[in-house]
Amino acid sequence: MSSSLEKNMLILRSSDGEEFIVPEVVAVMSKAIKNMVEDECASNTIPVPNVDANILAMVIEFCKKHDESEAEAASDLKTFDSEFVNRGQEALYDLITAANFRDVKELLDALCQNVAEMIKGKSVHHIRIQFLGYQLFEILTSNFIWNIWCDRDFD
Amino acid sequence: MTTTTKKSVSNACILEDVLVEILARLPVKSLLRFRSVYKSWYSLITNPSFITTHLNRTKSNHIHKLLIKFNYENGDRCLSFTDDKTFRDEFVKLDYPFQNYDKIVGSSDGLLCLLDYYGSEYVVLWNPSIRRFMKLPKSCSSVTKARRHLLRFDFGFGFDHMSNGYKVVKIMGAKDNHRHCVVHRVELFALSTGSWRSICIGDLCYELYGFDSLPTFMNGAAH
Repeated sequence: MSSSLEKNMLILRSSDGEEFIVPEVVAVMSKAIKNMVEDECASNTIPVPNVDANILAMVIEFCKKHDESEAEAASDLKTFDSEFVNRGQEALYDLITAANFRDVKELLDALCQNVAEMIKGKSVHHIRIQFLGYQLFEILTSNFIWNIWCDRDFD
Repeated sequence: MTTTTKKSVSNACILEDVLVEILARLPVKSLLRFRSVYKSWYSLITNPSFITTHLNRTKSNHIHKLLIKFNYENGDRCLSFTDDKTFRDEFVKLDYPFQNYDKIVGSSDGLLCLLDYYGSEYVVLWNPSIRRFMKLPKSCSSVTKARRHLLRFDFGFGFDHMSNGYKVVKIMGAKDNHRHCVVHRVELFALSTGSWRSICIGDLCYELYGFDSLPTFMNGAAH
């Protein structure tokens, strides 16, 4: 661990190179990071690939709140959670991706709950539009087509 | 535009993982509707392991449902569900999908076990949430009408943790010479196998008491 750092602090580096100094207790709320720390393969900085600075900042904000508020009233935390997950679809998907990939259980729970509330009363047609990407993914099963797909330009 | 499309496609692979988490949080009513979204959703929602996940999640929410049975004076019957929150405010009326099934043997995880009006032969398992019911086959020991008055039947219904399935137990009692009712034969219906089998009771000679009482099901045993 870097000597210039305070004890029990970790540096997380987002996919676009921004660095965040985070208390270890907060960082290890991600099980993936926890495993890295426990296996002592975490060097000075822990790279967090696939998660950009914007999303990483959100995830850290969430984890900090949940760590600080261990003593806080559960109802306050619930209010925070529901406000936190109340975002546009794009950010929501990115957050889900990050929470799932980095294994942050509390965040994933809150996000999934939110999506469930969102789609609960929706019609089948609406869901199909919302999950269009998923449908396309289903059709494209072979890697070959997958590559062409990713390289294609859509307008 | 390319990036957005790529993004939604990569999101799509994540969703496959997370989808289970999201769907497990939906009420049954939405799930029934969403079966027709995609083929993959259908197979996911009807998958037994998903059903177990969903059931356990619902159970852990500790929202208790109360089953209420009305018997109107004009002979009409009606079942209704209510829960802690909506108690007294709202009753969800359940329509019987069938006639002449009236006696409730028991319920477990939202499944109801009903008995025909005469309480002897036919048993129905009913899942009101998905509006499906199943008439159990006649057990192997059907009796003639002439002998029926000599016998009495008791039923129990519940979830067996040992075999991980729902079971119906049928206890037949016969009157002996001293007009006591002793256990004559015990049969078990397992939903997983879909058939009745007789259980060896050995020299079990307990007397049966309490004719119309309903058995209580606890930890896989009918009491």
